[in-house]
Amino acid sequence: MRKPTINRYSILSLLAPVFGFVTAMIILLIIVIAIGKNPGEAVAAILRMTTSSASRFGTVVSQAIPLYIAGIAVAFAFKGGVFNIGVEGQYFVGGLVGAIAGIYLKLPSIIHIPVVVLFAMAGGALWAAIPAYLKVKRGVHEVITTIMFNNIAIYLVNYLVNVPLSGFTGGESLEPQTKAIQSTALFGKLNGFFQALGWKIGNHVYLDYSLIVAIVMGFIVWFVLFKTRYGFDVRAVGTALDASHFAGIRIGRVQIGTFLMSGALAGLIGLQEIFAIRGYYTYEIAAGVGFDGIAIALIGRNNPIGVVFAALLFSFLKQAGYGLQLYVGIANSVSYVITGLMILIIVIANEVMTRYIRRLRRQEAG
Amino acid sequence: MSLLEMKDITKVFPGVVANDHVSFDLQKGEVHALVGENGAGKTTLMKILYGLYGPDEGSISINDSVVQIANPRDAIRKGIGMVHQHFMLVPVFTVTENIVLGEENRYADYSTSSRAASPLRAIMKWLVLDTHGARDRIQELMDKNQLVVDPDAPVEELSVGLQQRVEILKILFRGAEILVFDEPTAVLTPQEVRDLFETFRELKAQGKGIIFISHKLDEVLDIADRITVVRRGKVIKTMPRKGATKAGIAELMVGKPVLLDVDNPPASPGDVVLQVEHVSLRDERGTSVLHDVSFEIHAGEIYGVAGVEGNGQSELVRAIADRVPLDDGNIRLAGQDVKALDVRQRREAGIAHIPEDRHRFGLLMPFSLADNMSLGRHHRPPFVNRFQMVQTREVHRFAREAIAEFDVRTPSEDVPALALSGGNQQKAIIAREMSGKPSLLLASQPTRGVDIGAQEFIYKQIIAAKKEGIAILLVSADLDEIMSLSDRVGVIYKGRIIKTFDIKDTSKEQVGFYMMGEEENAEADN
Repeated sequence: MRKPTINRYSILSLLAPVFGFVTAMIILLIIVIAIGKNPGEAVAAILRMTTSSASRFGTVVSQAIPLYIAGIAVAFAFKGGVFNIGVEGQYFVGGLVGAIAGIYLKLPSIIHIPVVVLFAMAGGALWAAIPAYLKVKRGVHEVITTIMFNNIAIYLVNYLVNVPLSGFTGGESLEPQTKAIQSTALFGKLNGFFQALGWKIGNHVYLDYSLIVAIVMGFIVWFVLFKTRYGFDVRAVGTALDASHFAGIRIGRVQIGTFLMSGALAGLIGLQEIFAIRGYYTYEIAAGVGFDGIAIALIGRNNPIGVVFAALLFSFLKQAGYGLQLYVGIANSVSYVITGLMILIIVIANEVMTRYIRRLRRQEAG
Repeated sequence: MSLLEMKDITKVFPGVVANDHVSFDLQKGEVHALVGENGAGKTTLMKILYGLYGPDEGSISINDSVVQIANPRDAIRKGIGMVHQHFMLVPVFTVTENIVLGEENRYADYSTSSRAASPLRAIMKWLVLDTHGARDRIQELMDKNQLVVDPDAPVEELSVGLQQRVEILKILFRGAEILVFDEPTAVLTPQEVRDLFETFRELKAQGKGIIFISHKLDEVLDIADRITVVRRGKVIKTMPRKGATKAGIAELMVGKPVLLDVDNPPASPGDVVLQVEHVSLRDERGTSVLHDVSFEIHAGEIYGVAGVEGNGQSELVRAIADRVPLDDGNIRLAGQDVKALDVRQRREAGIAHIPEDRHRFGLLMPFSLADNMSLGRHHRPPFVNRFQMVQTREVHRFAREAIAEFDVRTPSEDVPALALSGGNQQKAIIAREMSGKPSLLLASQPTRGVDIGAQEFIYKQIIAAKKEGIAILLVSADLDEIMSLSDRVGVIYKGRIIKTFDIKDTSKEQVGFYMMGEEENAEADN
């Protein structure tokens, strides 16, 4: 008797994002019609760009990797009730610290790669540490400090890349950048492995070691949150501060830990771009991924498994936008509008569904 | 002619029939008590009357003509006034300002501008605050109803009883004929209750009708002319006071006989467990909230703290349960100074805590009952293994046992805490706190918002704890609860324990007298 009702609730709560997605797609088509394009062509363009070939779908997965890491970084913080808006800054700093380890340390590859991953995590955690300290010990709200620290981070890496760490050689690229990362630290691709499994992705698609990092981190986050005492404390503090306090949970410690963990994860967002794609660090690495992480965490309900789908959805929408632009001539800004609408609708649908389930449960309990 | 008649009112919320063909009427010059457990449908019925919900079926008539009540403003216009359980007053405003709020210029005459052209007068009426006429009207209402309050005192400086008078004046000022009181006595001392009932009699004499919602059956039997009992959305019975008994009403409310008298044997106190020594404490703004508080509690003894809410009870409990920076004094548990210990260390030293606000302080509402049952000990074996991994099976096994032992009514231990009724939530907290084998139990408002059945159970548990030799600090706004459970009573007033009684040497009236802070008068009387 017990199990089926639990499943019924899970199914109901999974329906919310599906409902949001479908609604947003309908709105997309209405917009397409409104600007005088053929909706059939639009759908075809979206499918062509995202799922028409193994490589196209591989690209969706590839672009989802940094989005996923950003999503779990934010989700972990949100689970613990810490509003880490500073994932963006932690990503910039973490990436740079990882790159420094990749440029200046001389190690064999099998050690060098884990070392740059750990340095990137340390860099992100370091950048989260000051807002964490200010929140817990001084009561300064983290939303303010982390936003400030985002700006500081951006100008700090700008300075570091331009002056002390500059590797600009006047060669083919005018982009300010560091020296090249040593080959022992570069991330190889897993494409051969997937091709051997029968997935015919092209060699230009980046399915690199950062995919492994993302999967491992996703598992760790899930395990910590749901299987350990510490994760219970994180969730408890994120749910009810006062009740946690009176249960003897040491709130300050839990919040500092949450913040550092979130920052450490954020430090990993740039791995793919820095170590697999570019091979050097520049402050021109993709901006805004940290902020995308907020929306992704929200849609994935701060759950490391939900965030997988949310990150894929985001990546899908990005590619769909390119498809509309390329094949139908619809401005990319339209697809940004759709993305925004979809987030809004899914969040609303989530909230409505959560309340509905709560009411059902209340009635069941009498 | 009925002043008010609510006929066959039905209100369905998805899956719940909150009111099922409820009929209720009120005559002029009558106090009609509405009693029932939490969730029985009293509040829904009153919200319908006040225009907050529309009924699905049924009709409301005032003075025999059918009316539609669209919203609270409409209800007020039709002569319905409500004194809410939580006062709706602006603390920094004066009594007069609070009474006229929203109706500021109702009695304005603008005599100074009487020669002005009428359009100007209309603008003035809209623009310029003139409470002179209102002041006269308020004075008249105060005199007529013996509701004396200083009209220029800021409301925040008034006692709870006086604030309630302001609420009553507010609705009378708006011309209420039907007065609804939602648990008005919950926050009052016995003396203030007597004054309130005096006002009720005065209002009755003027032909007004009063709906009195209460849990306290003694008071219902004292003041009501008729009593209506609701249970599960239905009217079970409407009866005259004559012939009604407390046990009879309780049985109608619950649906089965209820043991109202607490079987509480005298304490056989053991060693001293808790010593509070000269404790003084300030809040964040630097205001003194506890001043030189000292008392001891022995093993197997219930020490009750009586007082009007907001006199330092919450802070006192917090100072014992939590590490707060004391201005002065010591807190000892079994002789050991616990000042430096944080919540976790105090719990481990043997302090259990039933917090005053269970939703905020006691439970992780969206978490499962199972998680909530081990909360506070969840960091120790058997709930975690040595790698600090949660042992879900143990958590569930423990929860199932505790649910059975403490009679928590729930479909399973997987249900989130927020899905349970107040009484069952409170039972879960008590189960959790008692299973830690404490030496001291802090019970703060242990039966607030729980129904009679759960109340009976909670009293039994507290008394059982006492028999086991646990020292118990009981804080309650319900003086009856303090009187029937405590072995000794300390009266707290403005952060001081102004008097301590042995329960057998005192009476409810005497304790209530001190709760008003009238220590000096009492000294003079003795």
